[in-house]
Amino acid sequence: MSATVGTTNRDADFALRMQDADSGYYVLFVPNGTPWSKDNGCLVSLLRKTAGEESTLAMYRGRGISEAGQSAKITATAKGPWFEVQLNGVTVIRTKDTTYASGFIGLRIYGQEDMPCDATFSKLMFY
Amino acid sequence: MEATDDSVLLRRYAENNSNEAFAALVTRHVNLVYSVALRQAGNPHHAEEITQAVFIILARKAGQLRHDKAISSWLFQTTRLTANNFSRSETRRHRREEEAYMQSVLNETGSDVWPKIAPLLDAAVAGLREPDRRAIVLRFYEGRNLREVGLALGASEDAAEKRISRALEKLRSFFSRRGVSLTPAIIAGVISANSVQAAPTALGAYVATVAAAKGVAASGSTLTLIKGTLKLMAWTKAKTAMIAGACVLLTAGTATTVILYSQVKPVQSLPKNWSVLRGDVGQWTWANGKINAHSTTGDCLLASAR
Repeated sequence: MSATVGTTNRDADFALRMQDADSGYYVLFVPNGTPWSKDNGCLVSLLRKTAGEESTLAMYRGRGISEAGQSAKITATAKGPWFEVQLNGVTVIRTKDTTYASGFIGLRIYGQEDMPCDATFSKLMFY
Repeated sequence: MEATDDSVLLRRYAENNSNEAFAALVTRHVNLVYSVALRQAGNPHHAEEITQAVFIILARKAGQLRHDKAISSWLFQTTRLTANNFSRSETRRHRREEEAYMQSVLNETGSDVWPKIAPLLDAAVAGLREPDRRAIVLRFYEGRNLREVGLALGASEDAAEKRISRALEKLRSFFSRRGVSLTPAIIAGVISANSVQAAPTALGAYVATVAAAKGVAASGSTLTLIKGTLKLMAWTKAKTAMIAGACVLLTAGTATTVILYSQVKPVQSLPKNWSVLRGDVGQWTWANGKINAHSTTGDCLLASAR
């Protein structure tokens, strides 16, 4: 799946191969300059969530991550055991995990009272 | 019989946009294309992608091919070309990944760093000016001492040492820009220790024999590689205009592949079969072609039906 995503304050995420709300994979997009990134840095990452517990499988913190409020095209592909994430057409993550072989896809955000999340997803495409 | 059927099916697809006709062509030839792709790519996932690309090309060229009585030979050739192109794309992708990975690698030392800088080392050295590159190659790839480097460069030992020092500083800067902080001394040590490894014993003799015969006994793949390399060299000479043209072609090809990959179109509204798995429906809204999401209450998950 792919989408043009953006957030002014926190993160905009994809969900892949979800088994339920607590198990599956998340692709996180955290742009630079948000309140959240001040503490955690800007990044694109792939997380595995199992029974609510999250673990990072791969993380990219390099060039090309846009600023807060600017949009970026994120493409996430899960094919067999391989996961690939592209940021504006450039592969930034490619890794392998065999925990969940299938599941549903989705969009995800996470916000808190003192640090809300506002995100946009457009040009949503499924392959 | 089958050849005639191919042309009929192609014509139906080209002239009437018959998806059934095209599906019949795919069913008939997919094994051939996949097998050729698999042999060339050596990876089932890659072979699938190549197969898909070949049939996309067939769809685009159906109008030109509709009079062909047998498209199997065309498919074979196109599969090979596509697989070759795929290999080059994979190489580029791998390089980008290495670059991306290097962004996150900081302040590591010698032995840890080699596997990460190795893919970019030759590019870094190639980017040096000719005298600097010669100095680095002689000193660290060939293991010459400073006096020998100086002689080869037509300079004194001191001058050779200064040139190597400056070249190492340029390499340090190259890697630093990609997130790897190393001292020139570590770079020198790592390159010396790892840049050249022994080739298989029989390889040298074989290569010498084949090269002496100007490639007459070389394998098909080697000849193709040579041809590709020669083309690349010609391209390099042609420089800006052709490179710009190639970029346009590449961009157009990529866009087409994305669109045709599974004939997808952007979602025009919130997907009907989706539901909110966690959070509140009101946190997700559709406006001006965008899905807007807002949360102050933790996890919000909008997901497809399973």
